[in-house]
Amino acid sequence: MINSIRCTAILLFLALNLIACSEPQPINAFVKGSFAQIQQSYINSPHMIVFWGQNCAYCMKEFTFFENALSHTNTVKLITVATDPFLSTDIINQLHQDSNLDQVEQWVFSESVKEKLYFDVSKNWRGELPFIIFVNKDRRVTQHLGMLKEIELVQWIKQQDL
Amino acid sequence: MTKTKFIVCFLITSGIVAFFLINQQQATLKVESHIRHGQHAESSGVTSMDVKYVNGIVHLLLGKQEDGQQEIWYQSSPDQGTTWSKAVNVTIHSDVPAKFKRGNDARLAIQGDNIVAVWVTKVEGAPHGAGPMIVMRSTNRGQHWQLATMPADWQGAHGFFAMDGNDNAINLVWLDSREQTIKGSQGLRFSQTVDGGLNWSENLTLDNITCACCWNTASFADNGLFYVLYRDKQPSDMAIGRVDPSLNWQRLSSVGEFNWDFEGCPHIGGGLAIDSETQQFHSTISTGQPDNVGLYYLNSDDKGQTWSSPMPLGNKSAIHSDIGVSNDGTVIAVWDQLSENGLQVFYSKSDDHGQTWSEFQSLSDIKLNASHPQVIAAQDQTLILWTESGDQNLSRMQTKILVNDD
Repeated sequence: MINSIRCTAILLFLALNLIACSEPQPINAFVKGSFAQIQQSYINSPHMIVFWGQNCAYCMKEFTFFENALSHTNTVKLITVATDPFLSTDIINQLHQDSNLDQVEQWVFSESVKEKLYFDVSKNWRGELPFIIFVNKDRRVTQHLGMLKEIELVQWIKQQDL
Repeated sequence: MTKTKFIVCFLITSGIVAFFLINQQQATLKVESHIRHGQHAESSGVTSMDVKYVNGIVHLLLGKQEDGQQEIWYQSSPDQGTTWSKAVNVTIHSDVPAKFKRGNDARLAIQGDNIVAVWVTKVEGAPHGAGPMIVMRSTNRGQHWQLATMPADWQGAHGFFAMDGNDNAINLVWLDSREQTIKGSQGLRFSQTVDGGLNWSENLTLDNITCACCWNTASFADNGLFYVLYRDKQPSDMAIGRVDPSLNWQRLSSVGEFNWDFEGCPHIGGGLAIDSETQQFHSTISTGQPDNVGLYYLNSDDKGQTWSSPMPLGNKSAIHSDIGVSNDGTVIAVWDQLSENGLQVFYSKSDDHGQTWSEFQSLSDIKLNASHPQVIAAQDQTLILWTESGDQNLSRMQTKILVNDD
């Protein structure tokens, strides 16, 4: 009897954990200062911040290979930022779920003048998409405009685990 | 006594006449003041803008978005933007929702008394919410508008229009993906009307692989050739070509050969102006090629076959640009570039056919987000228009007139 209760409790615990894990990440409001905040949060981890747009076909293509690329690492963190101001949570969640990225940290531009946020991220970023900022294990920052090749992404990710 | 009565009567009559004259003058001033105020109010909520200068008249097409409603309005100015006619709602009889934004604006073109306007329709649930184009036409200089025939013979989503007219025709180009050859590209299509939008020619594909998200620019030269400036793919440099009166297309050259290989969405087109006296071409184009990011001016003395070396304008964050050339050959370039508060509008001018340029000058309030400037260069003054918004985020059109050496 006790064993049965114990088993049920463990199963319940695992089920709750599973539900918690499959819940989509909350979507954070990306405003002036958010870029610095993200970098500060991951100061000790290699990470990449991906800026994307709902109407950017190349961004959607990139989304399809992030899951596979991240399977090569336990240390690299992916953070996504939607650049369509105040894009609906439903759309963001759906796009991330479709690419099995619902567990990554997600942000959305929350400033009606999006150019202010371009300037806050990089003085010379004019809003071209996709745009990725890489911060490697030595805290060196590099930027990439346009769609990445999956092989280049995997290569960079693997280097962070060496 | 009679003399005194006469003087009193004269004074009273003079007083009455003076009273009426002053009142009439005040009434005139009030009306004028009202018109100015009204015109200013009419420029609020603007999220689309196109302007053309034909035979001394400035024609303006504004897309406005207020309370969730999208409307297109037409106005004209006989004095290069100093005063404007009463705005006419082009969409008043249309129940098809419009979709426009800066960079994918509603456009207009003029052929004699005919004016044609084109924009994208909104389709809920469609990719990007975009549907086929809709075209309206006016045969009485913009006073009344009616639905024109559909120029496109493919009914998917259209966008990024450019259009120009001369005495004989109105030519229209746009992007659509009726035959998407590579991912993230569209094709550049063409159609012509010779009867003010009643009938349109069979569609031509001018280039089947172009940037999918960059605005196009088009202009008739005096010889009847129709020039189109657009962003190509593989590489993503700007390109120019022309359609002749027999509707034959020829791609002429890249405008700024940066060899920018970019798999992405730049959202940046260019500006084109043709000097009617010298037939010199002037262009502003932008590149994101990592070693040369920024906005550039180039000119061509052989009608787009070859181009001068790119000359930088603004800083590396310069984005949306336009260029105009007046009858006396003065060239004016306008653009926006990033600042802490968003975008700021700048201009520069050249009095020697683009050889040297004046110091860049800001036109917009640095506290506002001002973008997508357009320029109309006339003989004695230059009209510069852009849209701007502040903290309240209500976008409005702003204009500045540069007179002589202003």
